[in-house]
Amino acid sequence: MAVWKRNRRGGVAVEFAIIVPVMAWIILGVWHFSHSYLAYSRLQWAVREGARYAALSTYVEGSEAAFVNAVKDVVCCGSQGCDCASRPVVQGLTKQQVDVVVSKPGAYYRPVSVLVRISSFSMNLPYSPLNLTNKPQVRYPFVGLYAAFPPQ
Amino acid sequence: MSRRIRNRAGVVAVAFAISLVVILGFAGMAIDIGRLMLIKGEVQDYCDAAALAAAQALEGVGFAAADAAATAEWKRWDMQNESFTTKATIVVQYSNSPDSGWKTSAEGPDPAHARFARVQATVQPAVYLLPVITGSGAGTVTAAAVAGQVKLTRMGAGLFPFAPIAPNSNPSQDFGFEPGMTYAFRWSSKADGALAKYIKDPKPSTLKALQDEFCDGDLYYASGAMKPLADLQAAVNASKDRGFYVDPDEGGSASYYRSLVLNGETGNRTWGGGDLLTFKPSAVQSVLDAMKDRIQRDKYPLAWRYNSSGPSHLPDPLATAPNYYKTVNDSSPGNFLRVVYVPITNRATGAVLEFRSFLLGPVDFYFKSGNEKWCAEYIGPRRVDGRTPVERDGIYTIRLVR
Repeated sequence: MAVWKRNRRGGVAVEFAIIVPVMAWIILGVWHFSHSYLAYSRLQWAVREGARYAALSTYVEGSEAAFVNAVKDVVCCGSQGCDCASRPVVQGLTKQQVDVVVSKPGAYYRPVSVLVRISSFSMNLPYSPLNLTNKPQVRYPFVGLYAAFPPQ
Repeated sequence: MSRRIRNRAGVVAVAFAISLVVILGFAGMAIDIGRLMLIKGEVQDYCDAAALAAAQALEGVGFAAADAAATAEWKRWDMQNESFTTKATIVVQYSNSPDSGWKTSAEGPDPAHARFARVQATVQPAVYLLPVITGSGAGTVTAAAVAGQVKLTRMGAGLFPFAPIAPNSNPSQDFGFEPGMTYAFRWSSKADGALAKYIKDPKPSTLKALQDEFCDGDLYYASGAMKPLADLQAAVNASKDRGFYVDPDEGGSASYYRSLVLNGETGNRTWGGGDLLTFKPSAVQSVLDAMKDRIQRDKYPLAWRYNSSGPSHLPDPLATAPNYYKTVNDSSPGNFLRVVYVPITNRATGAVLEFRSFLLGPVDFYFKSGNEKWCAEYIGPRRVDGRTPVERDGIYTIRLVR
């Protein structure tokens, strides 16, 4: 006992051993939350840009697939026709994960609103993966132009 | 004292324990503030969408529709977990200026001029670690957005490639156009002949021929009085084939005009105050057919005239079934394809003054031959979504302004 008391070598190491896991826990926690917030806020920004683009662009009756595709481009990589596969706004985001819903009463009506959302997205983080289903999402009233014929 | 200095066991642990509280406090604060920032973004999105919806619902008659539109469920907050309709304070106000004079619908803003809507939303998300500093268990996140109907001083996209001759150049008199009357987009090829014959020998048969070749608003005022024909003759002689104006970027092929008639201008060129239009006279059967295609794609291709309050002396071919265009679209808004936007030009110089809208008639209103008259009903100021703007002095669009 006396020997043990006298010999303090290794005390710092012991304290270090206790502190490291706690610090690691905190640092990983900060990493976890900052990454999830960053990813979510980037996705939120992306869906907002997509919804704004959709709300202001021209909707052509019968060409909804092209309209939706352009909006997905804007969400996924920032502009129409951009390369989402190599430069997504958030690592791992694909066009298939972007959902664009044009709400209109039927054929030959003006669209009423456009909903843009991330249908499913997951990201690995230290504590638990970030899984997003139908979020973030933004719905804007449609204030753009309506055309009944494909561009000639 | 010397003994305490010597014995340092546990000092690091104590220091760490103290600093841990500080570290956790800051980390927690960062987490809470991060969450509040996310929520701020969501509240801003809500305000933007709600303000746009409210501005879109303003038609100069009241605020019930705009209030309802603004408080519809445009978005949820706290990563989609909370509703704006139940867990937020929403204030919707209206004004005729984007900067001041805001009043809620209960405070009685002027419906005839309030064309801006401001939506302010406040939510109070629970926070967990911030209260250590702030002492309050809930944060407050506020955002606001202003959207409004903005007059277009230049127009490109959606513009119809005609410029009917304005009776005068005074915007406050609608340039001499009268709502409910029809005016020529393109003169009949026999217009000048019929006019000359009638002026030379006014009698029932030449009057009938004159009426066949001109649109009612070209010949008559809404009151029923005939317009001075010398004036009309000057206009006809100056522009026998007044019709399409030319986009210098695109040339003037028939297929190009066909596409303009179907969908409106789609290029990047815009026209505005003072730009000179040049006109292209041509025989245009395929373009007339395109115009009929456009009419048939309207949700309500058969509705006759814009509304029931038009001039009453005019013959109404479908008077027995008064499906007025406004009435059917008010009950279920269609696509407004028959509403077309055209530049109004100075009669003498061809310079663009402003923009106004016309309603294309039903298909049967037009003849088979493109050489006959093409008439359209003047419906005046309008929004690009086909609805009535609050201020009745031009073509308006709906935009976020603040």
